[in-house]
Amino acid sequence: MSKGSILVVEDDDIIAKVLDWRLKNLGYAVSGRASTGAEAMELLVSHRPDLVLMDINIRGEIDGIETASMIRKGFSVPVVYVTSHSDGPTLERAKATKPDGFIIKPFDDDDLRVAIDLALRK
Amino acid sequence: MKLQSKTSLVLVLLLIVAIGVISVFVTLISLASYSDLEQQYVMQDLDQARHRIVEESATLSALVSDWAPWDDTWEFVNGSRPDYVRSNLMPETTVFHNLRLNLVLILDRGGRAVYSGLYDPASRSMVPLPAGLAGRLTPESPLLDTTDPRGGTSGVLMVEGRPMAVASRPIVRTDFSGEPQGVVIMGAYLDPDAVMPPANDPDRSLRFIPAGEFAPPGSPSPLPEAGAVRAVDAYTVAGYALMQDIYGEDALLLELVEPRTIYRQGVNTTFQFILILLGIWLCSGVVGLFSLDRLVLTRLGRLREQVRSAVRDEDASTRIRIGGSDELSGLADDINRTLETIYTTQRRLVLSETRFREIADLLPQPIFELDAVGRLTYINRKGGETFGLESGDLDLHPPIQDFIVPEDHERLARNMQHVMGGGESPGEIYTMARRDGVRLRAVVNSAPIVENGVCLGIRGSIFDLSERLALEEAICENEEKYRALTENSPDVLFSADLKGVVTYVSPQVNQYGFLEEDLVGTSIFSIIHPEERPEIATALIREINTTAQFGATFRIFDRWGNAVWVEEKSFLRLDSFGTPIGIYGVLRDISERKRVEEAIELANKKLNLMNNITRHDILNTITGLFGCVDMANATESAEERRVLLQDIRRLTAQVQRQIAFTKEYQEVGVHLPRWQNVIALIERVRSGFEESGLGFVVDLEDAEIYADPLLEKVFYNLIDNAVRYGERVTTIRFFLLISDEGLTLVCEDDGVGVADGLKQHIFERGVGKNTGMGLFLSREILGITRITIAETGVYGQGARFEIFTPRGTYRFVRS
Repeated sequence: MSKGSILVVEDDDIIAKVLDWRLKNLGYAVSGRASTGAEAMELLVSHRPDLVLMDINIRGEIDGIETASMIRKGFSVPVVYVTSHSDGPTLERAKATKPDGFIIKPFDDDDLRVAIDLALRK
Repeated sequence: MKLQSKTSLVLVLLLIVAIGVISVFVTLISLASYSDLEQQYVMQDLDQARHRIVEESATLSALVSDWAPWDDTWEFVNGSRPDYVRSNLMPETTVFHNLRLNLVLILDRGGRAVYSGLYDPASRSMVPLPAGLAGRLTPESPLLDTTDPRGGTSGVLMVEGRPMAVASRPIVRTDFSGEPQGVVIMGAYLDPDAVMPPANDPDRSLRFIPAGEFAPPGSPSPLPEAGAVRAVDAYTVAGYALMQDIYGEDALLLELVEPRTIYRQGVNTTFQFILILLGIWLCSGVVGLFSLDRLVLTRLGRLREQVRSAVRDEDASTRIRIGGSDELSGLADDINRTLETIYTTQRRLVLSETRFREIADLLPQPIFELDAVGRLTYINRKGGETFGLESGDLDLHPPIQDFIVPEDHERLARNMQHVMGGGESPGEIYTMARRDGVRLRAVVNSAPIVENGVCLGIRGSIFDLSERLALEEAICENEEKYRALTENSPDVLFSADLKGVVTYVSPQVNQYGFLEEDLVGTSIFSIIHPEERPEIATALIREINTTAQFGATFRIFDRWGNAVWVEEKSFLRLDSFGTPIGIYGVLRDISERKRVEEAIELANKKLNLMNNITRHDILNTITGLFGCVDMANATESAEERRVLLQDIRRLTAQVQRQIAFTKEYQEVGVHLPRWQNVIALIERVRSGFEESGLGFVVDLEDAEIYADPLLEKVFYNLIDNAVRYGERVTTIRFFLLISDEGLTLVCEDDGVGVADGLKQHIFERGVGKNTGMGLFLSREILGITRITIAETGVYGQGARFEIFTPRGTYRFVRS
């Protein structure tokens, strides 16, 4: 039995594959992978995941922060950012959306597990 | 002559003239009235005399009326009563005397005398009829008129030069029946004494004068008019009345001579009146003169003596006292007030004179007065000190020439003559000499001393120019020094009034294409960039008001419209009273520094950006690498491990590209931007594509762009992209578009162009068919100096890149 279903929003194929592999190793089910904000909203509606792992720099008209902001407004699904920005204005803008967690690239399984567990317990 | 004598003389003369005038008027008016009255009395007497003559004729007519219409007379004429004469007329003298008749004629119808008788009362006898009488009794005579039996004729008839009252009537029966048989004529000589009106004056006389014999005494004039009155002499007056006889002819002139009693009485009365008037006048004159003397003239004399004493003593404190409360005492009060005013004025004048003398002595420059021949009559203390004059020297009235060097004497004389003639002194500069021989240059201003239109001398001031000339020399030196500094300074120096209007600008403004006169008189704000104008104006006012200094950095436009960054430092300009009148300022061209600063700032930003991007990208890739490594370690499938190792290799190569990009990107902004000739730049790049077979059209003016030294790489990327992705490109064209905002360099080709969906993203990092870094890098290179790039072509017709260069970052090469 899985610990929960997770929607991965990542435009980089290799990182998306790595996330998929690690999440499954940790006992989570990956409900889907989206490359853009629009795909993420579609999968969120269709799969109703328990958590969304959101890359900030994704392709498309809207980036990960704007997508997360829309999710927070329309759904009660926790969002955890996955980003390589550890400081600067991008991170400040992400904090303003009051996410449920941050995972800083590069990450390992423990980083994923702790951040996801904490987010799901809120 | 004293006022009293004059007054007496005037009064006497006035008395004489008044009496003379009154006498003449009284004489003329009064005596004329008396004369008129006299004439009226004479005329009345003459009228009475004539009336008596008429009455005499009427009496005769009544007597004839008894005799003519009488049967006896009728019968006598017809010859039937021969005793008629004896019965009625005898004795003749008695009858004539009783009837007071002188003539009785009874004529028959043929005019023949049936009876005639003429009585002379003087001799009391009958006398023959005068010869001339028969000649006058012609049938045409009115005396013989018998046409009216009841009618009759009466009047005056001159008989032998004597007037006779006559009357006739036709002889008819007593009852007036029957044909008139003739006429009865009766006459009586007129006696002047009987005719003359009654009076007591024995000197009065009436005379009958036949009209043909009139010759009034002292007057050969012809017959006077009826009613004429003439003064014969001072004592006699004659009146004349003319009477006509029964024939209607002027026959008798009545001359009434009377003494001029009324007139003489009038003369006496007038004379007495004048005498009385003279007496009254004399009395009044004496009383008037006495009163005038006591009340006016004597007091006036005292007043005059007191005034004269005050004037003689020049003592305005004296007061006049003459007593009384009339006009003269009022005049004395007025004089006292005038004296008081004079006294006050004198005191003020003395104080004023003292004040001005002290002020004159306090003046730091000499002032002087000369008499009409140029001798010094006054000089103030400073003048005495300047020329070394001792006390008492001025009493000798030294000539002004003593203080002026001989070379200037002729000019001095000419100028003095000019000033004394009323001309203006423009301020003459003389070389003056002190008593100790020291010379000084001084400007002398002078004006004439004029009193009552006469020039009495010259008054003037002397201004020692020695210090001023030295000062001017120093000022000239300073001015030359500061002018040299100003004109040789690389900065633009200027001054402006409080409204910002330029009042001076140094010639360094020429480097911006302006002449000094182009800016002087215009607002300093007119050349400031419009975006910064309000802010600079507000800051200038605020800081000048608070700190009296101002510093700002802003852009100005040169004559060609290029923006130039300047740094301004200004400070408040005050007049001699400390009142702000404007600013002095320095404009320093910091365009180069500004561009460098901006370029460095941008370079720093880009380096930071590059760091962030690179770190982000590499961390992202490492995340994938770690994942792939973990997955490779975890898998037992050789095939899966091989795929993962390929991913790892690809990710590692990606890290290598990212690192390589950092090397290329770090060059951006490392070197300072510089002006680069666009044509030369394109020519160099084009030479590298000669084997591509593309045609190049370079339609550019000779312009330079201020940009990062990697600008050449931008043009390389544009041409390289056209070659790589334009598919059918044959020609690349470069040309310029100039607008108010700036210069646009257009690079367009005739290839397939850029799809509309990509136009917004082709300048982003990683977007593109190759590395995705070319156009991104181009944008970054241009952005160092705020140059922008955009793709505006039509997809399918070719790509068109517009490189927009704002004002200040391009310039045209001037030949």
